[in-house]
Parts: sequence; structure tokens; C-alpha cells
Amino acid sequence: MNGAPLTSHHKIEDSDHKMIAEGRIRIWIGLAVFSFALLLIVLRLAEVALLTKPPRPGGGDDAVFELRADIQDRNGRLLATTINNYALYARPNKILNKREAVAGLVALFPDLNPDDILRRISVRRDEVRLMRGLIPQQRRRLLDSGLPGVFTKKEPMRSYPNGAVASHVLGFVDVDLKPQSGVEYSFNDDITAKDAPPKTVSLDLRVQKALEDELAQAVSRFNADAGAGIVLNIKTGEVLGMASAPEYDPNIRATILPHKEKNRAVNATYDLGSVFKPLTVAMALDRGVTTLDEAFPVHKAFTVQRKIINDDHYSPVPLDAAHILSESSNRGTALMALRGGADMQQDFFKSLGFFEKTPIELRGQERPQYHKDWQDISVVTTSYGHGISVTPLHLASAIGGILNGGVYIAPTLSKADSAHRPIMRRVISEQTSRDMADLMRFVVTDGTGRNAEVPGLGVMGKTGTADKPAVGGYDTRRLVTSFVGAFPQWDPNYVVMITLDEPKAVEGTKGFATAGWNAAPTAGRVIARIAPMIDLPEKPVRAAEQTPRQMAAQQEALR
Amino acid sequence: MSSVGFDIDFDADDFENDGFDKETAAKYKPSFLSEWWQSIDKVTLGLFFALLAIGVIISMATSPVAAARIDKDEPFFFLMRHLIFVFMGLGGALFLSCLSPQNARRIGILALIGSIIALILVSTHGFTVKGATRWLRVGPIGLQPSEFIKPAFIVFAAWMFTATRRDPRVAGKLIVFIVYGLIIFLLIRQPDMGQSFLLTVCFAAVFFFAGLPLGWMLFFFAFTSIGGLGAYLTVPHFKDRIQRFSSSDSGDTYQTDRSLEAISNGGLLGQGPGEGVFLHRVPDVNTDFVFAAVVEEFGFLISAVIVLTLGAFIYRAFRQALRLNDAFCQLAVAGLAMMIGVQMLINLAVNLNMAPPKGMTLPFISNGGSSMLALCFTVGLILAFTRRRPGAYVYGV
Repeated sequence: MNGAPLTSHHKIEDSDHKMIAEGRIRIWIGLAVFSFALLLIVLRLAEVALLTKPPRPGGGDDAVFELRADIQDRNGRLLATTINNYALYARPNKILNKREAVAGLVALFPDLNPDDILRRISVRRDEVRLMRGLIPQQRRRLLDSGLPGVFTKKEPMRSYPNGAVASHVLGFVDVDLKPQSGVEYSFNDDITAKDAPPKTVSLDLRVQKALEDELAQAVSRFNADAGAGIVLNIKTGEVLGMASAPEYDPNIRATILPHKEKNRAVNATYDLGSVFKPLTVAMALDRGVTTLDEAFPVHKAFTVQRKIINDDHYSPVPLDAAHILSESSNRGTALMALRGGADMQQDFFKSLGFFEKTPIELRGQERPQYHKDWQDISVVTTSYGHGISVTPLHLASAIGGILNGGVYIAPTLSKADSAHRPIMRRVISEQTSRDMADLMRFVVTDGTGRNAEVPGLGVMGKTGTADKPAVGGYDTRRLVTSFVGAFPQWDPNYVVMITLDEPKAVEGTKGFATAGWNAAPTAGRVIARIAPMIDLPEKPVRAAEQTPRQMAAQQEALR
Repeated sequence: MSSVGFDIDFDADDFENDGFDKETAAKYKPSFLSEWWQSIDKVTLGLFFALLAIGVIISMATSPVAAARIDKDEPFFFLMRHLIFVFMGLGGALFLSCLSPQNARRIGILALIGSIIALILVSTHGFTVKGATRWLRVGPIGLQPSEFIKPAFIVFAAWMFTATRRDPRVAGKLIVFIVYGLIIFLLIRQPDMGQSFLLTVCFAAVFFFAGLPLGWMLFFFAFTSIGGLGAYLTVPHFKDRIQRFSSSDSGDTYQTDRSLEAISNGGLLGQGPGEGVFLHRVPDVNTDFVFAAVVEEFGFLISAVIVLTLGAFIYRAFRQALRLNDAFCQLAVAGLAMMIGVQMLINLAVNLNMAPPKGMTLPFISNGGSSMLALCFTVGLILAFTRRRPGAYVYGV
């Protein structure tokens, strides 16, 4: 055909025929290639659709808001987590029969108020939100109902699986997951960091629960207005438990009321009273103002700046340091403090952090209150805890510093590790600290703290009953009672602090509403419950229990 | 194949010669509609209708998702648009199917000239979507000339190759290459690598079917390889896509990752219409990645049926091409079938992460006005070229 002149119709037909015949073979090849490629595609489709495991829905791109990492206690128990749920929305202009829609919604969600829903779906808006916090099953039921004009949007929700437990420490977030208080607020950067690991806090969930339990029982039994409790590891500064009563459940927004939300361990200050006495005694012993043997003339009338200083438990004989604490003598600590002077006392209080907020990672702390003009009367009253208002955590940390070998350690909610070094400063010598442990043990064995005793744990402590400040002085009928306890005596490791706001005399307290009858036994019960849960220092072979008896003998000689 | 072909092509003259009077002849002359119905390939037509129907049903599932993505209040906005184009395209295809092969070829050549002019206009008057200037506004709709240029060019190439075969004095091959070069130049300028690639593959197929010598094929292969390499080195968007695909660990493989998630969530029977989860994250869920949405909601079985329906349509066109007696019709039909087939294969390969994203629709199923109209145009041409007429078909092939 090449170059052949086109002369006849037949030649065209022939060349066409040849071309077509050859073309057919090539089209067959093309069809075969196409079929093969199609087969590969179908096989690949089967591989992806049938053999590949689909990814887990949720997470990743679904995040509407910034996600929040879990919060867990020191042993990895879950305290707060973020879950996905759904918000219920309606498109008013898509709902044809409003009454029917309301009836359908209320049948599905009985909590909804029909009038409120009707009002909301009657507005001229593209979409309105009717309800938040639907769980997947509820959403399923909604979709199954086929109600027109309603739909759901996925949104993350913060959940606190232990309910009210540790609520004051954890704080809570608003509906948009913005932190409002507590650990949620203070560690927000850690919690919202990209791919953040769970935030571990110093709390021990078991200790926390025991503390809250006992505090709530005490508040209820002694008919108190409120209460606070702290369990502190005084060797590390870690807060193992921190409770405040009354409490709230952060999962139920309606329970978050101001008087419930207040964390009385750090967000309230009190004139804590006699629990300050160990501090005064420690200062006096450590600074060489007095010795363990010196007896103070507490039986004599005592007036400072025309104010009479009285003792609740009058002693007819002079008392030494051990008995000043065990009998809780105001005159005794006043005499010690006056001998040291205002500067020494202020320096000492400053070293214990009493003039500023505690360094704990919680917002909304109340600032301590004290006399601006520190006269002799200030020296006297603050020596037994009046005229200075601090938070229970201030006092617990200070007592911790007195008993742990003499080093003030800043309280913290971060779990101690090599990366986290707490603020530490020496406040008294190790020897004084050992002496203080013996003196505070004596308070429990022979003094006002007897009701806090737990056999075998070497509980130390000090009671404190303070009148509430009122206009122009103090209201003697309204009390704040505290017990600051510590254990074990052979190597003080933990402080337990209980404060009750306006406890009343009840059956079984012999008409008293003082700390020895309410705060002290509460602290004892807490210690008895938590001691098996936590690590205790090994008891040394030497019998440390003898010291209080020696003290008793010594005092006997003075009578 | 039955012998119906001979029975239907009546001509008034035949009757006269055979001694019938004109009146009788006029009485027996079949109506236009019945003649069309008798001559059209009903299998191709049936598959075409089936595919359009499938596309509409799929659009019902994907339209609300796509509408929600762009905050459209009307969930079936894209379905309505799709329906409009389906009916426009269907009308056009049926009109073309009434034409004789010669007239259909003429329309094809006119379309080629028209779309080349449009392609040139795009560079000056076009508008840009997602970084590529491919669209020309015609009234309320944006048209993409590169979609129409593919079938038109295939018809043109088939015509040129057959003409050269019949009369060697026609410099068909040269003309085809010049036109091809011009179109590729215009496409790369947009830039539109996907359509350039598809056009090149289709051209190669027509080339191959036309029985051109191996030397030419080698030359063509070398030409496109150099062209592809040049594009890779000079067009950043193209280079980026290839690199992303070839290195799966680095870079942004967002689109195909979402697509694979949706497909893997489909399983055998799918999540059910409206129940898809991952398709909400699939980009271009109603166009380039519609197949991922289909698998997630309707499952492997139904999506395989859809793929096989498309395959059957292409297979049917190939079968018809094999039986045709006219070299031009055979070449054009095979080329057009190949075009739809390759477009489908590329789209599926992209959805299944076997090829880098190309911007190619799934024929008849994806939303997209230009694509739908161009495909209907292609089907119309296939229907016209495969009409039964005396001597059109050979038997036993």
C-alpha cells in the first residue's frame, strides 16, 4: 500500500481491511492491558476495604477545642480525664411542627424543660444549642428517633471519675475546657501541651479519700460550719491529701457554689491558736533563749500592755517547756517569746513563710494577716497563735519544718522527682528538731492531745482552740479548733492537720468544743487509716518512748 | 451479533427500485425515533443510564457532606448541580447519538478547535481554583476546556491516522504531533499535569491502535519521558506531588491518608448511607475522592459492582470497536473507551494511594460540571460511531 496511487475503490477497501485487521489485534492487547489494570485495582480495593483495620474514630482532627491531658495521682490512679460526648442542637427553621419536636425531645431526655425548649426552638436563628453532655448511647437514641431539625455536635468533656474526691485540689474547667481553679488552672500549660503525658500530682488517692471521709464525718458529728484537712510528707513537701468541707462534685456544675468551692486549707486564713506554741518553743530552744530544764512562772498573774493573759488550764506550779506545751500554757509561750523579742519572732515567722502566701501551686490563696505594728502584745499573742491569721497549710508546713530535722520545705502538689527540687531552708537545728519531736509526743501521751493517739505509731501533735475574731476583739462562743499531728516520733515523716470551723459541744465531748475533743480525735482517726497505706520509716531498736516518762518525772520534782 | 443491521437501514430509493410505489415506501419508512432506536447500541446506552443513575445516588450521599464543608445551608446543593449537568449531558449525548459517524466526527473536530481557543482564552480570561487556572466562565457555570479537549483530540487523531493510511500524501502524523504539542504546552502552562498525562496516555493508545510502527512508538516514549522530566524539574507543584507520593513517611499525604481511612472503614457492606465517619474528613469528597466515600458508606461489594459497571461500559465499547468495519470508527471508539478507562483507573489508583493525587474525576460518578459534560460528549460520540448501518459490523470477532 505504501506509495500506491489511489486508483480504485477496492484498494481503499483493501488497505482499510488490512488496517482494521491489524488494529483489532492491537485493540485486543489494549483491552487486555486495561483488564489487567482493572483487576489490580479491584484487588487493591479488596485489600484496603476488607483487610485493613480501620483507624479508631475520634481524636486527631476531631478535636474542636484544645485537648487536656489526664491528671493522675502519685500511683497513677486517674483523677481527671477528657472524654468525647455530644451537644444537642436544633435548626429552628427546619422544625415544621414545634410541639411535636418538643414532645419528642422531652420523651428522649426527661431532664429537658418543655417550655424552655419550645422557647429556644422558636427563635429565628440558624441553630440553637439545647443541651450538652450527651453520651454516645443518648445520641444513638436521638438519631434513631429520626426527629427532624435536631442534630448533635461532638465536643470533648472533662470528667472527674472520683466525683467530689480531691475536687478542691484538682479544680475544674468550664464548658469550653478552660481551667478555672486548682491543678487544672496551675498546671494548664503542662496539661494542654501537645501530646502531653498524664499530669502526675503528689496526691495519694487513698490518703485523700480517707482524709475527706474523716473530715466530713467530723464536720457532721461536731456540727461544724466547715473544715480543712491536710496530709503532708514533711521530708519532701509533697501534699498527699488536702481536703475541705463542705465539698462539691466538679462533674455536677450546680454543686459548684462559692462556699463549697472554697478550699479552706489554702484559701482561708484563721487565727489558729495554740498550734503555734510548738513554733514558739522551738524558736526559744533553738536560739538559746531557754533550755528544756527551765521552768517558767506560769502560776503568777501576767499583764502585758494592760492586757491580762490567762491560761485555760491553770497551773499552780511553774512549768517547763514540755508542760507548757502539754498543758498549753499561754503565759509560758508568752514569756519565752518576750524574752526573745519582736525581731527574733518576726525573723522566725518569716523563715516559716508566715508573711506571704504559701508557695503551693494553687490559685486564690488568702494572704496571711498580722499586726503591722509588732508591739509586745503582738509578740505575746502571736506566740500562742492569736493576732496572726494564716492558712492551715502555712501551719502544717511550719510544723513540718520543726519536726523533719529543722528544714522548712515548700509544700507542693508536684510529685517529687530528681527534676523537681523544692525550696528548702534551715529554720532550727537538728537537735532542737529532735527535742521538739519528744515534746510534741509528750502532748499526745500526757497532754491535751491524748485523743489523737494511735498505738504503735508514735503520734506527736498539738491542739489549738482559738476564739474567732469579732468586732473589737474575739467572740468566745465561736471557736476554730485545730490539731496538728505528726508521726512517727522516731523519724517524723508525715504531718496531719485538721481544722474545724465552729464545732459545737456534742454528746460524748463532756460539754467541751475544744480541739482536744474534736480536731485531735479526727486527726488520730486519719492517721490510723492512712498509716497502712504509706511508707513509714523503720522503727529504730532503741526505745524512744521512754522520753516522755522522764519528762513527767522531772516535772513531778518541781511540785 | 444478529443481522439486524441490514434490516433497518431503509432507503426510499431501494423500495422504488424494487417496484414499490412512493406512497407505500413512505408508509414503511421508519420514523426517526424508531430508526434511532433500532440502530443505537442498547447495551452501551443502558450502561450509560445505569452509570448516571449510580452517580446521582452517590451524589445524594456525598452532597450533604460537601455542603457542610463549605457551610452551605442547602445540603443538596451539589446534588442539584449534579442533576443539572446530568440532564444537560444526557441531552447532548442523545443528540450526538442521532448523528452519522461523519457528522459526529465533524462535531468532534469543531470541539477540538473550540476547546483549543478556549484553552488559550483560559490563560488570559480564566479563573483560578486551588492554585490552578483551568476554568473559563460561561454564563453562570465555569467550564474546564481541558476536559473537552481529550475526546475531541482523540477523534481528530483517529481521523488523521486513518486519512494517512488511506492517502499517504496527507501529512497526518505531523499535524497530529503539532496539535498534540500545542495542547500539551497549553495544559502545562495552567498547570494541569493530570490532564496532560491522561491526554498523553490516550494519544499513545490511539497511536498504538492505529498500527503505527515501533520506531514512532519509541520516539513518542522518549518525547514524553523528556517532557515529564522537564515538567518535574520546572513545575514546583508537580514535583511536590511526586515527591510526596514517593516518600510516604515525610511530607503531607493528608488527602490520600483520609481516603484510605474512609475506605478501610467501609469493610464488606459499608457503614450505610449517611453513617460514614471518615468521609467527613476526606477532601474533595464529592469530586476526586468520591470513591472513598462510596466505599465507606456502601462497602466493598457495592463499590466493586460500580467499578465493574464502569468496566463493563468500557469493555462493551472495546467489543464494538473490534467488530466495526470502518477504520476511523474503530480507532475513535477504542481511543475514547481507553480515555474513559484510563481516567477511571487513575482516579481509583489515587483513591487507593497507588498513584499521586492528579485532580481526576471518577467518570459519571463524581460531581463536576465540565467533567460530566465532557464524558457525556464522549459517550455521544461513541454511540454515534457504533450505530448500526449496512456493512458497519463484521461478525464473529
